[in-house]
Amino acid sequence: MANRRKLENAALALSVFGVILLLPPILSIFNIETRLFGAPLVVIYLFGIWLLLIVATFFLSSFISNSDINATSKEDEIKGNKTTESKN
Amino acid sequence: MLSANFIILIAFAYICLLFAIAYFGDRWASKGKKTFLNSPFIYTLAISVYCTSWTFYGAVGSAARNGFEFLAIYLGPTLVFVAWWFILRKLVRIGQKNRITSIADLLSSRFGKSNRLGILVTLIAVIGTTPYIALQLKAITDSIKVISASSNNGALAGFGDGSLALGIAAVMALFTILFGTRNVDAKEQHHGVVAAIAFEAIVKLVAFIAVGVFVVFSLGGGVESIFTKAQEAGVDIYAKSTFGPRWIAILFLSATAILCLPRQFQITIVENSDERHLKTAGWAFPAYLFLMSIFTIPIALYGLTTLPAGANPDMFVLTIPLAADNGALAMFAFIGGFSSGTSMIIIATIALSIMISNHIVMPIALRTSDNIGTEDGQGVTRLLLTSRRISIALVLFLGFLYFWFSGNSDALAAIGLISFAGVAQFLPSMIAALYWREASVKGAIAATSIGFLIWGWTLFLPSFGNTNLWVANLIEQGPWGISLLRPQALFGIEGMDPLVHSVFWSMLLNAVVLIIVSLLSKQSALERIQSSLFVDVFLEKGSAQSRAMRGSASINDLFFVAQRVLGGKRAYALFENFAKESGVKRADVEPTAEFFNRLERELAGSIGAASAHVVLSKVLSGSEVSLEEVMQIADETQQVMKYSQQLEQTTAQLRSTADQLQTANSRLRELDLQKDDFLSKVSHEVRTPMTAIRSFSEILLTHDDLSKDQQKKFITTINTESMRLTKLLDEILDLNALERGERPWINLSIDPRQAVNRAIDICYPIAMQKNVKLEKVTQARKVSVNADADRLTQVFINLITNAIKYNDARKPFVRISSRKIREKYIVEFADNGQGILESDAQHIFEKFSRGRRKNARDDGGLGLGLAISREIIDKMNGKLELVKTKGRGATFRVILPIISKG
Repeated sequence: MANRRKLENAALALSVFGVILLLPPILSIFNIETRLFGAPLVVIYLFGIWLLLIVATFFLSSFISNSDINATSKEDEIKGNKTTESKN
Repeated sequence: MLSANFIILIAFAYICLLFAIAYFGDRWASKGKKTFLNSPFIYTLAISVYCTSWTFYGAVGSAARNGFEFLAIYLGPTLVFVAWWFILRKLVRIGQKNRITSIADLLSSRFGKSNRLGILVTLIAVIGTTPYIALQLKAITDSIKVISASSNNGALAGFGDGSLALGIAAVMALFTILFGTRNVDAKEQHHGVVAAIAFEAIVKLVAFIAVGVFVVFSLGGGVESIFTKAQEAGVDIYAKSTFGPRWIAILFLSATAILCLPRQFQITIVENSDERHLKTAGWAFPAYLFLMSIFTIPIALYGLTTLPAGANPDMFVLTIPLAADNGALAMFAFIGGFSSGTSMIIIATIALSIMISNHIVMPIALRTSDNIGTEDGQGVTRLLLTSRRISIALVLFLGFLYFWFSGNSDALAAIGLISFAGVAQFLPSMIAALYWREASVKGAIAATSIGFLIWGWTLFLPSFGNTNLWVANLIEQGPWGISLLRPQALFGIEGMDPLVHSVFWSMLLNAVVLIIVSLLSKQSALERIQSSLFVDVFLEKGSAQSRAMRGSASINDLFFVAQRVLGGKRAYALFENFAKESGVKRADVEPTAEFFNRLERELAGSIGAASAHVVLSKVLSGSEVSLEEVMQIADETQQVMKYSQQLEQTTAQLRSTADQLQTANSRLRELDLQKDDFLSKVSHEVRTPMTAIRSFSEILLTHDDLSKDQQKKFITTINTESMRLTKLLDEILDLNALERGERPWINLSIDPRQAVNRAIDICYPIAMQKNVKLEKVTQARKVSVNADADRLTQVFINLITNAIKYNDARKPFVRISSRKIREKYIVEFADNGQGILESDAQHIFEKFSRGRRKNARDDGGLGLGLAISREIIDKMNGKLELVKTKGRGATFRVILPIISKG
C-alpha cells in the first residue's frame, strides 16, 4: 500500500490543481476559436479536465483502504511516525 | 396522442411506483436487510438530488442562452467531491458523532447549542428554499403544458396552472409525510425515501441520456455534425462564454451549495450511514454529473439550429422529441424531469421540516410547557411528528403560493442561483465550525445575519424587479434616493454582474463580521467544549467527552425522559445496551457522565442538540448542575481557597506579631527587673556612705568632748564618704547619659597608642605604690581608630586600675600588649591576680556587679566601671571582652576597628 500521507497530499494537490485548472487565466488559454471534432476547444478542455479529476479521484480513493477512513488522525500520526522511523 | 389526462395519469402512476419503492425500502431497512440499500452507490445516486428539474430542463436553456455557464454548476460540486477527504469526511464524522440532524443543527450544535442560531439558519433555509420548490412546481406544470399542448387534445381545460401545481404539491406532501415522518429516527435516516430518490436519480439520468443519444445519433448525425451545422446556422453559443467573474462566482456558489443546501446536507451528511461511502461518492458523483451534462450542449445546439426561433430553450428536452414525433421518448423525458423535480421537493421538505420542528417548534414547546415529559404516552414524539407533518404541508403550500403569485414572470427562472447564494451565507460559519476554534456564536449569528440581509437586498429583492414597480424603482434610484445603497450597485460600484456583485459583498461582509465579532466576543464554556469537539473530531478517541457529572439525577428520571422522546422501545434498548456494556442490571445503571452524554446525543438525534440540551436540563432541573454551574462552583471553590489562604497568611502574621509581642514583653519584664535591681543596688550603694556620714556627723554633733585628732579623723571620713557618694552619683549619671545617648559624642580619628600611653602614665604612681610591675609587652604599629581620646583613656585607666587593685600575687604585674590583626586594633590588659570566676564572667559587665573574691574588702569600687567601659567602647563600634586564659589572672581585651587613612 502506498504511503497514506502521500496519498492524502496527492488528494489535496489534486483538488487545488483542479480549482486552478478550472479558473481563468488557465481556462482562458483554451477559450479560443480553435475547434476539435467540430466542438470548441474549451469544451473539450473542460470535459477533459473533468474526466481527469474523476479518474484520478477514483485511483486515489482505491488506494485508501477502508480501515484508513475510520482510523483517527492520532493513529495516523503514530503510523506515520513508525513508517518514517522504520525507513531511517 | 398525449392527452393531459394521460400524462397526469402517468405522473400519478410514477408517484405510486415511488410509494412502493419507499415502502419496500423501509420494510427492508427495518428487517435489517440493508445490504443493497446500504451500498455506496445508492448513497451516491441519492446525492444526485442536486440535479433538480432546474438542471434537467434548465441546463439546456442555460447553455442556449449563456454558453458554458451551466458547466460551472456541475464543476463546483465535482471539486468538492474530489476533495472529499478534507471537508466532507470531517462533516460526516462530526455528523455521526454528534447525531447532527440538519445544517441548522450542525451550526447550532457547534456554537454552544445555540437556539437563536438554529432559528436563524432555519429561517434563511426556508426563505431560500421555498422559491426553489416553487421553481420545481413551475417546471413540472410547464412540462405538462408543453407535452399536452403538443397534442391536439387540449384537455387541460379542467386544470388551470394553479390547480395543477396545487395537486402536485398535495401529492408530494402526502408522499413526504408518509415516508419522511414515519418515525423520529435515531439519526433522521429515511431508508425508504433514499431508495426512492436513488431510483429517481437513475430515471432522470437514463431519460436525459436517452434524449441525448436520440438527438445526437438519430437526429443530428453525430456530435461533429451537430457542431458543424450549428456553426453553419450561425448559432455560436461559445462566443457568449466569458470565463470571467461570473464563471468564478457560479463555480464558487455551486461548490458551496453542495455543502450548504439543506437537501444536500440531509442526503450527504445526515443520511450517510457509513463514512466509507464517501470513498465511492468521491468519484462516482462527479461521474454522474459528467454523464448528466455531456449531452447538454448538443441538445441545446440542435434545438437552436432546428426548432423555430421562438421556442423556449428550457423545454428543448421535451420539444425536440415531440418535434421528431417520438412521443414515447418525450414521455420518458417528461418522467425524467418530473422525477428530478419530485426528488428535490421530497428531500428539501424533509430537511426543512426537521429543521423547523427541532429548532422552532421544540424550543417553543419546551418554553411554554413546564413538564414535557409528564404527558401521557409519547408526548415529545407525537409533538415532533405532528409538527413535521404540518411543516411539510406548510413548506409545500408556501412554495405553491410563491409559484402562484410570481405567476409566469421571469422571477422564477433565476431563482436557482439566487437560492444557492442564499444558502451560501452558511458557508463562513460552517467552515469556521470545522476548522476555527475561536469562532463564537455571536460571530456566527452576526455574520449569517449580515450576509443574509445583503443577499436579500442585492439579489432576492431585485428578482421582483420585473413584476414590481416599486422594486424596479428601488433598483434604479436606491432607497430614499440614496444611490450608494442601490441594490445592484452598492457603494456606487456599477457595471458588475448582479450575481457577482451580491456574492462578493455578502460573502466578504459575512466572513469579515464572523472574524471580527468572534475575536471581540467571548466563548461560553459549552461553546469551547463543542468547538474542540468539532475541530478535533479526528483526534478524539471513542466518545470520550469530558463533561462534568451532573447532580444526582436518578436513572429512573432519565429513563422517563428518554421514553418520552425516543419512545419506549428505543429508550429500553438504549438503557439495556448501556447496562450490558457496563456489566450491570438495567436498574443498576449509574447515571454517569458518559451515559448522560450518550443519552443527550441520542436525544439530539431526534430533536436536535439545542433542544436535547434543554430537555435534559429542564426535566432534571431539580438536581441538574449545568456545565456553567459547575464552572461557577469551581470558580467559587477557587475563591474560597484563595480566601482561606489569605486567612492563613493573616493568622501567620498574627502569630508572628504575637511572638514579637511576647518577646518584647519578656524583654520589658527583664528590663523592669533590671531597673528594680539597679534601684536596689543604687540605694544600697548610696545608703552605705550616707549611713557613715550620718553617724559620724551625729557623733560630732553630740560629743563635744572629742579630741581634735578624733574630730579631724571623723570629718575626713565624712569627706571621703561624701566624695565617694558624689563619685557614685556622677558615674550613675554618666552611665545613664551614655546609655540614653544624651551627651553629644564625637568620634575622631586618633592614635589609640597615645591613649594607652597616657593611661599607663596616669596609673604608674598607683602601680608603684602597690609594687605592681606595669609593663608594655608589645606595641602595634601606628594606626588610627575612630574614638573619643579622653573616653578611651578613661576605659584603659579603669582596666589598669582594676588589674592593679585586685592583684594579690606575690610578684604582681600588669602586662599591656597591643597589635593589629585584620584591620582591627587589639589591646590586652593581662594580670596575674586571682582571675575571675567562671560564674562571674558573665556578669562582670553588668552594673553594680563585682567579682567575688576570697578576702573581699570594700575598696571603694562601685561595680560601675566595667559597665561604663563597655558602653564607651560600644559607642566606638568596638568590643570589650574578657578573654579566657589558661594560667592565673584575668585578661581584658579591647578591639577597635581601624579606619583606613586618607
